[in-house]
Amino acid sequence: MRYGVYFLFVLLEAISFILVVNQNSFQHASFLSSSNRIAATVYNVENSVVEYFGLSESNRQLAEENVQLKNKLSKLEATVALVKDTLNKRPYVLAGQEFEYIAAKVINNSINKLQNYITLDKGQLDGIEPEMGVVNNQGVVGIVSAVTDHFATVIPVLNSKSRISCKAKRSNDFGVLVWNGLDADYVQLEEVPRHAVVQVGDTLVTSGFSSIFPEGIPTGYVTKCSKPENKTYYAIEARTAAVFRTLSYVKVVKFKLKQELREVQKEGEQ
Amino acid sequence: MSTSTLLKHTLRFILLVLLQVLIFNNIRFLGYVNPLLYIWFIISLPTGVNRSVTLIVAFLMGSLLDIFSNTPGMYAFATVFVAFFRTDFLQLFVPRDMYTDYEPSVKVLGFPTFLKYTAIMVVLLHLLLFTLEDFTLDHYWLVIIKTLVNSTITLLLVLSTQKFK
Repeated sequence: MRYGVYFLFVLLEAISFILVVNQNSFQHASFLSSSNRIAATVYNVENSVVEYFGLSESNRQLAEENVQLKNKLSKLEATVALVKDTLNKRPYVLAGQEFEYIAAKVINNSINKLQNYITLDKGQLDGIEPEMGVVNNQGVVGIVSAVTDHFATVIPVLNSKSRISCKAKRSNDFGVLVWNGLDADYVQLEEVPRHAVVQVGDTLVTSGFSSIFPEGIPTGYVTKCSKPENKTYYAIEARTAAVFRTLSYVKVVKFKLKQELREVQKEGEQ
Repeated sequence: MSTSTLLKHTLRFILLVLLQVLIFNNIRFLGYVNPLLYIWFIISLPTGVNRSVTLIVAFLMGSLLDIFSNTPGMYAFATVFVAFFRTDFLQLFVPRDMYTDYEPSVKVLGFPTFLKYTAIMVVLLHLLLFTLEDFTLDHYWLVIIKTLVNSTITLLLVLSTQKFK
């Protein structure tokens, strides 16, 4: 077996390379992920240690969210009272009810790669499925790519595979949110035509075109905005709404009518 | 290989994988600092170890790191590649009359030889891994900067494990 070692070398490299190529698309990012049992358990243990260092920040965020929720609750109570009074128990529709949220904890998160991933401590048994949106109280975090029984892997905005449909809140101009891999605090908005009106300071929110995110969740705040001479699109840079360096608690968005929407879209295509 | 050497390298394997996934892959400084100290395991593997065994162990280590960091095949490819050419790099720098089974270190090889050998292993590993991570060559400047910065840090980390005297 003089050439045995060369054969082994080529074989192992071929296996690795096939894995790299096969996994290099959004659709295939599910196999061999950190949501598998062993890796996720190790990360869970690590997180339970690291968590203590971020407690004050998490506390502050939770307190903030509490306040926001209480405000919303009081507004809703007022609306309900109003509706009851004026409509005299006639049937009405409350907007936004088709979405449901599942709270989850981030047990692993990276920001220093081109392909960053987040691992969550909730999975299939908690109702999480691939292609569900993930948000926190600051804004959009990413999209679930793979789930096991107890854990889920998320492709965050900070992943060069991530493409999220967005619009400027003020002018309703649409674009696609991507990340160029350079700075974990800034993302780019592409495909905004030159005739659109986008300014520095604008808030970018989800467009609600897909069934992944509800409309109007913040994704970023425009910090740079220009029209390069030789391009047909704007060059827009925005600070991410969610702060990825200190991510700890997130909510997974469940769209209750997903199946129905899919069927309708399929019929429309035929 | 004696049992104590085997035990030492097994422990080092486990320790380095854990260090890599729990600490070095989570450094959030500047957004691209990600040193790969785990390669010290391959660098310091005794030269008496069968070449095929080295490749299989490298593949195992790479795959483990891939599972933890959601990068299927990337660590495995880069690690196996570096492990395969290790013998050639050693032959390039080490005098031929040296005994055949030794653990590459500053103590055995001397500082200049060990530095050259480690540097070429480390730079090659980083370059391969970051190129595979980018895959499209859209960010080649970033790949080069990341390779230079992280190779330097990894090299310093590997040297810090060595006894000089």
